[in-house]
Amino acid sequence: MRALVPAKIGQAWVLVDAEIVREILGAESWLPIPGARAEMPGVIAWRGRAIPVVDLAAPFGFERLVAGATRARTLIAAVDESIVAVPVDAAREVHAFAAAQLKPVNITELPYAAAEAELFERILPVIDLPRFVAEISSGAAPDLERGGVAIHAGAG
Amino acid sequence: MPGPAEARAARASLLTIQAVGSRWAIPSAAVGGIEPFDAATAETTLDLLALLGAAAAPRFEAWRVLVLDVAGEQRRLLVRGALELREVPAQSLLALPLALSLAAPLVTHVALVDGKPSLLVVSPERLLRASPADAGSRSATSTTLPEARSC
Repeated sequence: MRALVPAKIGQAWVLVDAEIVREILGAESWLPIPGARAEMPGVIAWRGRAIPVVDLAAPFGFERLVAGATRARTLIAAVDESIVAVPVDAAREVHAFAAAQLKPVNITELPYAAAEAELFERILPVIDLPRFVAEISSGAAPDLERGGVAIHAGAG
Repeated sequence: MPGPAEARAARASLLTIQAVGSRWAIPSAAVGGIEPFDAATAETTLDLLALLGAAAAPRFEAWRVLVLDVAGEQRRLLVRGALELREVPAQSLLALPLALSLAAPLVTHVALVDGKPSLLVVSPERLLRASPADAGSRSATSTTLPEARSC
């Protein structure tokens, strides 16, 4: 079984691996870092340290986080050797999926989807958050602030 | 109970600068002085907000020069924005994550105010090494220094 956390970003529900989610907080105040890319626009304070804010809405083509704005929930996730904060509009309880319930990506069009699963009578993408963060950190992902093209989602 | 010296050591003194959408801070121990801007010294003065890639508050009229002093080495920096001295507990200074240090190479920490990340703390040592070319590359706005104005 694979445990996944449903989270809503903009109009889309997505699934994130529960094993990397350390905590789910409410709306968190964050500090924009001038010059930072849209996918990692600033920091929040968590347990005595500053951790990067990762905005999944940026690659999804949804309304990005802007200075002063927050989202209702904040996922704190362990990715590789770092911790990141992912502001989302909503999060639900963890659901466990059997391997057979996880299908190859076929219907959803969101970037960084690694699989699909049915929940809430919809097909939701399982987002590969570690890959997204790794691509931002390494510079492999196009910088949306500097001419990168966002892929607009059809999920919802 | 900590003595006065320990209590002081547990706090960090910062000079804060208000810019559009961001507040910056420099450890006040590295500030040798603040002077009125003088056009005669413009060639040796770097625009601090331009170095940081920040925009000055509109219609902010007080142009001042912050004299940075680190181990006897000085640099003159033009500052545009309201200045304030603030003391924060040392534990409220949080290191900037490595993933963001490329975007803000002069920033070493963020400071919490009322538990929220609020200030971008700039390294005086890195400011000393910053060049006018950095200012040009980090700011979309003109970095031309102003005509002489009163402080």
